[in-house]
Amino acid sequence: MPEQNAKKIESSPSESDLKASRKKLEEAIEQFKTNLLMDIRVYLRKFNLPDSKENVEEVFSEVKITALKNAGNYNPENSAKAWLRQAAFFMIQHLCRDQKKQPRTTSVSDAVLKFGFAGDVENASESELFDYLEKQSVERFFRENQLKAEEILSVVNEKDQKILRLSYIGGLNTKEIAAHYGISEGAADVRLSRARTNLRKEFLKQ
Amino acid sequence: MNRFDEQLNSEQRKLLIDLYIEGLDESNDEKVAKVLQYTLRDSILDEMISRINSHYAAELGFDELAETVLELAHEHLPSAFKEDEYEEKILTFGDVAKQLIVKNRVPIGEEETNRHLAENATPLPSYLSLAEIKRIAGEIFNLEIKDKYLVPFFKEANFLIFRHSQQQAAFATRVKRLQKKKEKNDGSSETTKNK
Repeated sequence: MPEQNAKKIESSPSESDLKASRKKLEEAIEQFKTNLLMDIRVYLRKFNLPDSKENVEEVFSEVKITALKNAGNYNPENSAKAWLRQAAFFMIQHLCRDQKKQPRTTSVSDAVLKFGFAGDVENASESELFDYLEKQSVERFFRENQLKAEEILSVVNEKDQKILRLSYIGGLNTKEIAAHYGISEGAADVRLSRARTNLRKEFLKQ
Repeated sequence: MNRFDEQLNSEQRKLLIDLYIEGLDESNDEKVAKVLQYTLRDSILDEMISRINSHYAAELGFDELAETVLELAHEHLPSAFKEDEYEEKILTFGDVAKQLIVKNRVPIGEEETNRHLAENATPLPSYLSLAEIKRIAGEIFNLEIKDKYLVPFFKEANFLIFRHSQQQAAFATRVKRLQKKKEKNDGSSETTKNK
């Protein structure tokens, strides 16, 4: 019994740890408020929820309260900004499910099923998920078919071909691609990612 | 093996980014939630997600928010922007050769020469001429460059130099604009304090 109690004490954060976590989160909320407001608004819009200023502020306040209430779950070794963004997203996910009246299905096996994993979904681990994703890696397509790069590219439209050629044949990084098109790095990330997804879909069809 | 505890590599980051963007574009909350888990332990992925969200904010018309976030990031994370990169970047023979690949302009039969140059980081000469390129290629790389390769290489090198100077000018304007805005903000906060 004493051993069990010792374990229990060890696993629950001490009062000083909790205080430290809460302080770190409070500082992060202050420092990244604008980022969080932007993330919240983007998620609300993307998930077809009302994104008026009042709504954004309301979700932000909820996130703040919930995050501080659950500070014990936050591991101070992790990024506070990322944790708060995740908390904001969970809040929006919850709103989204409420609106659609759908049950929450956040287990890995459900997610894997949605990605089209054909293995034993009930027992799919994080590692199996990555194995599945890696099979669809565009780098892998090019690595395994080095001499057929242009042939691989021919399955997508010209716009996608151009950006994929810049990245995979020309070896340009995101910053260089952004400079080439005169767009932001975020825009380059999105454009390149959509081209990769199109290539993957077309390539896997064949 | 639980890969969640490991540091992600760049290929895995790309796969997660694809999943995230697919998730947002398809309103699939599970895909987004899955990726956000990984941002907790991978600061590079976290920064990429911030950048992508800024882009979406701009794409959705939340320009003001996106601009404020970028300005804050410039202020708090200057290393993520490396503002003087354009000023410091020197164009190399390799840059031109890579550009020829990108644009599909490597003359047939010259792929080997181009591949050789693509791996080279020798800066382009300050005075660029066909003869100078031929001389450097001969002296430094021990390569005999044929005219059918030299002409497209020269054209591409000139294009890159022109684009580089334009980027430098755009960069200088942006820095000036940011400085002015900062001065203006500092001035207004001083006035508020004095009140």
